[in-house]
Amino acid sequence: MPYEILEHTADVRVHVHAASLVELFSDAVQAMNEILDPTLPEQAKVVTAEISLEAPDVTALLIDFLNDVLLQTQLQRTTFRDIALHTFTDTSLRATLSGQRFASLGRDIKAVTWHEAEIRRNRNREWKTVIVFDI
Amino acid sequence: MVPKSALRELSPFVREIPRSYRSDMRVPARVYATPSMIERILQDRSLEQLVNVATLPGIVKYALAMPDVHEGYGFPVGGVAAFDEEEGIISPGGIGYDINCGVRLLCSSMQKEALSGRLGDIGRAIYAEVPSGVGKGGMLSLKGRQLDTVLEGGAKKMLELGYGLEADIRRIESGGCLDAAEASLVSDHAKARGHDQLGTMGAGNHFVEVEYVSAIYDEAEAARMGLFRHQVCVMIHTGSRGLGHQVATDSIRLMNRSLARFGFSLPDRELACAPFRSPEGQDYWKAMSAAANFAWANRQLITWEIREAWKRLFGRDEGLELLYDVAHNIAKIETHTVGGTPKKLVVHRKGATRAFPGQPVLIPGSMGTGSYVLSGREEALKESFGSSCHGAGRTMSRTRARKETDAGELLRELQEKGIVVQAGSKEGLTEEAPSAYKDVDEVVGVVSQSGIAKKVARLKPLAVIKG
Repeated sequence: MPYEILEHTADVRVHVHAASLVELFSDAVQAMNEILDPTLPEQAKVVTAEISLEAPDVTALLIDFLNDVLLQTQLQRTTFRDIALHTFTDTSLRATLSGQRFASLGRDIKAVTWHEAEIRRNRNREWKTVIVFDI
Repeated sequence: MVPKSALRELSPFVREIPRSYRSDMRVPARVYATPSMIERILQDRSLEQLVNVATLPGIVKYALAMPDVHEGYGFPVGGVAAFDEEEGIISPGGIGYDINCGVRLLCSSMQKEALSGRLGDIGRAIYAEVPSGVGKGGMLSLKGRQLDTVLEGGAKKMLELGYGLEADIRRIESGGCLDAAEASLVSDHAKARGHDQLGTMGAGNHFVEVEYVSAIYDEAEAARMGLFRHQVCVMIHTGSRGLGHQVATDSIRLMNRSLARFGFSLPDRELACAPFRSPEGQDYWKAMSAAANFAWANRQLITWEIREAWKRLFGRDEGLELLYDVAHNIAKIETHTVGGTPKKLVVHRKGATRAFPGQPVLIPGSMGTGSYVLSGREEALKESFGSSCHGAGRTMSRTRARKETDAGELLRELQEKGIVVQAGSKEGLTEEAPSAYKDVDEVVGVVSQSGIAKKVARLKPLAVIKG
């Protein structure tokens, strides 16, 4: 698994790790989707959304990106499983999200927090960070 | 993690981490707890987070943790901190994403015996009337100026729209409206996320609970508040829904980009803040006030929905009077005495309840264990910036609670206690299992024995309604 859900007294703490930054961003979205636990109808409408962001550093870019995906998830009632990154640097990105309308969500996420988030490379040259989701 | 050796005992219920513990602390950090509670508190990151709060610019006296404290993000949940209005900061992370999450208690004139055999009907009627669950919309879908007037008018606007009684407004903290609110400072995204969520409960730990007064500890105070033995009451716990969450997200993003300009170096980016008097600080204060008003309007509309259900069940003469409504995730401008001088402070309460002398303090326990009504005391003004705990406080993670709790067994246990449960999600129910929370009696015991607030009445649940 590219991510593990760890213990947190009140919220959900996730450890995400990936071979590249692009994968780390995509895996973090998948972790968020797992927490949201959507129920998808058999024939769901496909929905797309565009996200364009600039941030002061790569950790801020990830947290801002996840919060924007969460916003689109809630506004469009859609689970975005496909992330196409058209441009990607440490401080900016442009992405197209596509996914399916959900019937319901099993769990709410209020926000993606900055607490403990810090993208680093470990000894195996993997990118990793912890993310705490406010439930 | 903060080691136990760092704690100094100030009294049987108060321990302090001195300023010398970490070089960046501006004030000491204090925690209200019994020795056995301290052992549990030391097992997560609550106190480390409290020490981080003690480093924030303009903090006065001390950073405080109430006995229900547990790890959060940025501030610990159960945290209180006050900042000088002129020289201090305001921090969205010190209020949380659910701005003005809070509790409201409604009281009927009936005794619990009158509900005999009807609890199932009551649970179903309230569940049908109050929309619940993740992202659920409600009976009103507000647009443009309509939503703005609610953001600026709070519960008072709901009264104008016909969803309340004059008497309600007097029994809400701050009259259910913060005048600083400016709807134009709430983003379109935040408005889009919340525009149809007024009058809805949401998910997670939010609930409506029908309860009865099982014990009275202070007859005079209970009589003053209109409480009597076996009286049926209804408790509401919810906040500002998606609108408040997005206001916090927007502000934390903005403030994180301005930290260098303010010259702030923070131990945790979730503590992002701005000087209260800066344009960024003022913009957040006004947007937070608007989200707080949305939460009061939300609890007011839910009150109306419950009253409608009540009337259908018991007839037009059976009313539900508002006892009080308190916020437990909010910043307020209050005057407190610091070093013998009254000072205007920006008091942050994150998972903490205002407890001014004589004010009803509402403390919900875990699902199935019931709640307390307390009355704030003078000591709270002297010691805790007029603040108390806000609940039992979690002690077990949601993931572990889901793993360790069997939904069927939990439902049976509640049924054996005579409690009716009407819940949309079985998984959601297991996350809120009583075993995932501290003992509310012990938490309230600390608040009461340390003199912050006195116990007035204990309530026990009859029906739990959740998303």
